[in-house]
Amino acid sequence: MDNNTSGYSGPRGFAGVIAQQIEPLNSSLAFKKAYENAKPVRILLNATNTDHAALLIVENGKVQVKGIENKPASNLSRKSAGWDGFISCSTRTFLEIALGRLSMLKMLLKLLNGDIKVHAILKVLQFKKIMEYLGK
Amino acid sequence: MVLDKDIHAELAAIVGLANIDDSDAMTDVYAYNWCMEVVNQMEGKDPVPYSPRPLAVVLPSTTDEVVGIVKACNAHGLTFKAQSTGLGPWNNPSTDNCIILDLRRMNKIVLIDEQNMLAVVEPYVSGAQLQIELMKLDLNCHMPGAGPQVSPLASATSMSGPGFTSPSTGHSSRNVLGVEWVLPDGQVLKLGAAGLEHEPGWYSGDGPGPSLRGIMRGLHGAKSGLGVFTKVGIKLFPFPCKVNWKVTGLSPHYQFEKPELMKWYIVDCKTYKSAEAFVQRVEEHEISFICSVLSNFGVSAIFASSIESLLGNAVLAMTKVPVVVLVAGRTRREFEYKTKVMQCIIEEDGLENMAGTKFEPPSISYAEALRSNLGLHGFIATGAFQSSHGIIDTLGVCLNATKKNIPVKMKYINNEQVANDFGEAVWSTSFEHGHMHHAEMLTLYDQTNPECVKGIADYFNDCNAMDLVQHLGIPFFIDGDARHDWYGPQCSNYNTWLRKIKTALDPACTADAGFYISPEKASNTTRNEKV
Amino acid sequence: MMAPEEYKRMVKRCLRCSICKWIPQVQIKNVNHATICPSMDYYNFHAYSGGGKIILANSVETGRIPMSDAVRDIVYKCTACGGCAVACKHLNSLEPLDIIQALREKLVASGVGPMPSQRQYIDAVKQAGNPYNQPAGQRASWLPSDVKTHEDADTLYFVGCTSSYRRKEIAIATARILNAAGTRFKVLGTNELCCGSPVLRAGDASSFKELARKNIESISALHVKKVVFSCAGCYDMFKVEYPRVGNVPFDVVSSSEYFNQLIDEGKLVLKNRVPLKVTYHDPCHLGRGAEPYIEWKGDVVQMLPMVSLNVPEKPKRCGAGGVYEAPRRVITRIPGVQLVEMDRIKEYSYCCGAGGGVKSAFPDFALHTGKTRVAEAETTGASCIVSACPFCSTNLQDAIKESGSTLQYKDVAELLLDAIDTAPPARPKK
Repeated sequence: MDNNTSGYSGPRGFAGVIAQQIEPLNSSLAFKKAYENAKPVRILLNATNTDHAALLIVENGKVQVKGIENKPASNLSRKSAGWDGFISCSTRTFLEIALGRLSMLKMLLKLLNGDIKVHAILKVLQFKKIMEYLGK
Repeated sequence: MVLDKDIHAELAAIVGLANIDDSDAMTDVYAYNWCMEVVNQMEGKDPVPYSPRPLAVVLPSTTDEVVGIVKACNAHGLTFKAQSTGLGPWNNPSTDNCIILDLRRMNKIVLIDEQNMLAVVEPYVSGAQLQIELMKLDLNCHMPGAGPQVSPLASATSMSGPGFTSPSTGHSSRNVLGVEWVLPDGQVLKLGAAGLEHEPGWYSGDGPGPSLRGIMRGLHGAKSGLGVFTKVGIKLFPFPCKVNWKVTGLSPHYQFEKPELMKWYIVDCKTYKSAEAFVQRVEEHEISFICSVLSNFGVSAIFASSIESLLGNAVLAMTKVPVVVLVAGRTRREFEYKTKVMQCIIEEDGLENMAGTKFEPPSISYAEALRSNLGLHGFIATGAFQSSHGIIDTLGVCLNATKKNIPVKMKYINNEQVANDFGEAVWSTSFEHGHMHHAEMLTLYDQTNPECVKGIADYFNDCNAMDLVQHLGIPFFIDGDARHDWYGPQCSNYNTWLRKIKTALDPACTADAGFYISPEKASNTTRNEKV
Repeated sequence: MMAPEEYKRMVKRCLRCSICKWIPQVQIKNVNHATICPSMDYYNFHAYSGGGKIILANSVETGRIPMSDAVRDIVYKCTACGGCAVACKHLNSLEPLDIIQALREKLVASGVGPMPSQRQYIDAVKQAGNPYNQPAGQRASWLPSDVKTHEDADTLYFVGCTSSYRRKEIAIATARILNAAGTRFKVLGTNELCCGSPVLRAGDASSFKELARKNIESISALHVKKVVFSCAGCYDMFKVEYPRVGNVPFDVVSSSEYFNQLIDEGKLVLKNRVPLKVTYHDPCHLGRGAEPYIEWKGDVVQMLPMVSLNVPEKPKRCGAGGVYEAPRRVITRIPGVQLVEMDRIKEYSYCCGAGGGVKSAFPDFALHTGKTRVAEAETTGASCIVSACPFCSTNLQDAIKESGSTLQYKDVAELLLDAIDTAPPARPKK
């Protein structure tokens, strides 16, 4: 990993923030049970106002977060990053989604006006579902 | 303005040469305060964190010295402003002919009366210092939300007074007993039992000496506008539980030996209606040491030590309307009873306690709760915050205001002038067994960004107007002539009465009136407020 | 040496909460031992606090007040103990001590600072290699003739100016202990130069950097692997400040840490009982001040306007990385010694009063602070204060004498020597 801060080898930037939130799920029995036999899924979360997107890789009941530099944009293509679903928006919107503060209507409006870009929305909605396991 | 040499000599003769300083360096430091930039913005001035500079700062050590200084100010047409630990713009002068009395040298615990559960303190005793002495006697004191490093005397006499532990330790305004008060003309007035000619005491603020608590401080305190308070008797309370005060580890990651008979509850009520019902039940049963409605970021903050750990408390950040309750017992039977009642309430209301299941409160949070240190966590996210509203009313009014405030605040959030907390940031607490509640809406901002300062000032003005028009109580920061004269006519002309009090006690306006009110027929302030 | 952008950003952000005047609130156990700022305790005006000096820095930076003697006096009436920084950073993220240091550097650069007595000792360092203006040729005069040193040793004992000229008993005790352990070590002797601590603390950063480079160069040329320090100030310089100037290619070890290692390895046998009840005073420069700066090259992620996260979390120097356990371990390993703690210890220890150029510029303030600390030590019931710094030694002993206290003072090395007793004591018994 290209991060020369003493002792840290995790994903950078926004990806590091996501990793900090999500990777504790690997200690959750409820999460493991729900996802150990589920089809693997890779969801890309791109915070447009930062430099690093987060690729969530969920398989065999575990979740891993990989950081990908989001410039040039080609880094985030399906071919390069290998995602099944993709959501791109600002960090503010990500927070609103993660904290359940964005109603479906508001989400739709943001989709329509381009504040949120999504590919394979059903895959992306799994991110919200995964977040619900926090604390379980 | 420069302090006249003769006046300097006169003041130096009172306090000693080492205890007066009129240098630019010193007086400019005292002109600075937290949120002063917001006050300036609201008054149409440059949004700098500085008030007018005082002429000098003096450090009296006795009531007699305070009297001497006040009389000298009267003699020379100067004003004065008293402060102890000095947090907040209401400690600052509103004119440039002001002497600041920094009461730091008046720092004695005068008396602790264990049997009658009262303490008498001077201005610069901190809440933590008093608590340490009280813990030896299994007693506790009230500390305001501003933290244990501030002055219980200042809170009791000069500022509002709600605290995290208010369910157990009351409200500073209600805890005042005898008072020693240097009036703006230099007379010393002793209130309540302290006013007895023979064998004065401190046990009562209501008599036999004058009972002037309401006149002295009203709802939100005199903010130095009515003289100097040099001693105050305050009520004490039983310490909530046995504790072996053992803090281990190194800063900032301390650990604490959790008291056996103490338990956190973090309950996401999801709606304000549900929160109102829940809190009302908890308070009616008189079982809480702390009972506060917070917001998602608020509850994350009180259990965090950095912004990273704040946002790392994801489970808490996902709550909608969290209520935190801390229950404590002095005996096992008491604790078991209280926790049983809590459990019943939680189950009957269809709620869930997240503490100990989805989230483990750090051990140090127990120490911080006991030491009333939770309020300082509000500074973690952006380094600055201030509160709007500041309601003291029923819980229904408090939470109604919280809800109504959301769209008002969202406007400024969307303009990126205040930090985004979804508009929901609130801290409420209750006192007198749930009879009264306090709520303030915290606002995080960047105090160094003029756009943010403008935004928060406009937002505060909106909040003040909202409180008036929608009958949401009188908020914290209705102070100074213009705001009192704006609010007063809608509230039985209280401003007229306030002005009468000021005129009776301080016709020459020697006590700086910037955050109080000017006397009748005289306006000694240079505050030019836009409302 | 604070980055100018960070200085400009931080000086605007003090909230005037006054937390900097107190030890961390949850650590307060005694009404009389609740404060952490010696300047506030002596001078009382708010400007003397850590926060007050940040505000002062802002007033200067924004042009509201000029650099002046009044500014200088406020800034230098401060032992630069770092207590304010520990208190502030418990929850906030300002750097009061770094700002005070930067303000001193600005005062020196503008010609207004430092204090005249500090200017004198800076000149003495430049001319005589020590702030006491003592002949450089006498620097090694502390070394007893029966102490063995080895020119080919790969361990250097860096003695420091204060132990060389003033507190020779500390140097003697340390050297005798190393001999007793069979450690092959050498000293620089008359070639030893001041570490630069008094120069840096007074705000003369450029002179300090010159000294630091010279010292790193001269010691590196000796190809030593390890340098042992019995002076907290020197240790702080080599551990914390020198790496900010250049690469330090040898291990920097405090004598306490080294003594523990020698005991662990069986090289030191503590056969004498020393029946003493002692309390340990944490020197600022061995404790909270000795936490190295960790270069952070993470990412700042703006989550919301005004709310940014550091990934990874930025290390916060709150004093946790200082040397606290090593001296205590040495003390408690000595048979017969009972260690009792004061109320203000470790990262929230109360300063002895000597540092930051205060001993020379404001001796009354230094003594008052020392007496405050001695009074606190007396409340433990101990008969002896132990510390690990020759500067603390001087000021605390002055304070003991001045206050008529019956407390003894010993350095950790002296106490350990009493337990070993293979040679004459470091100083004559009374």
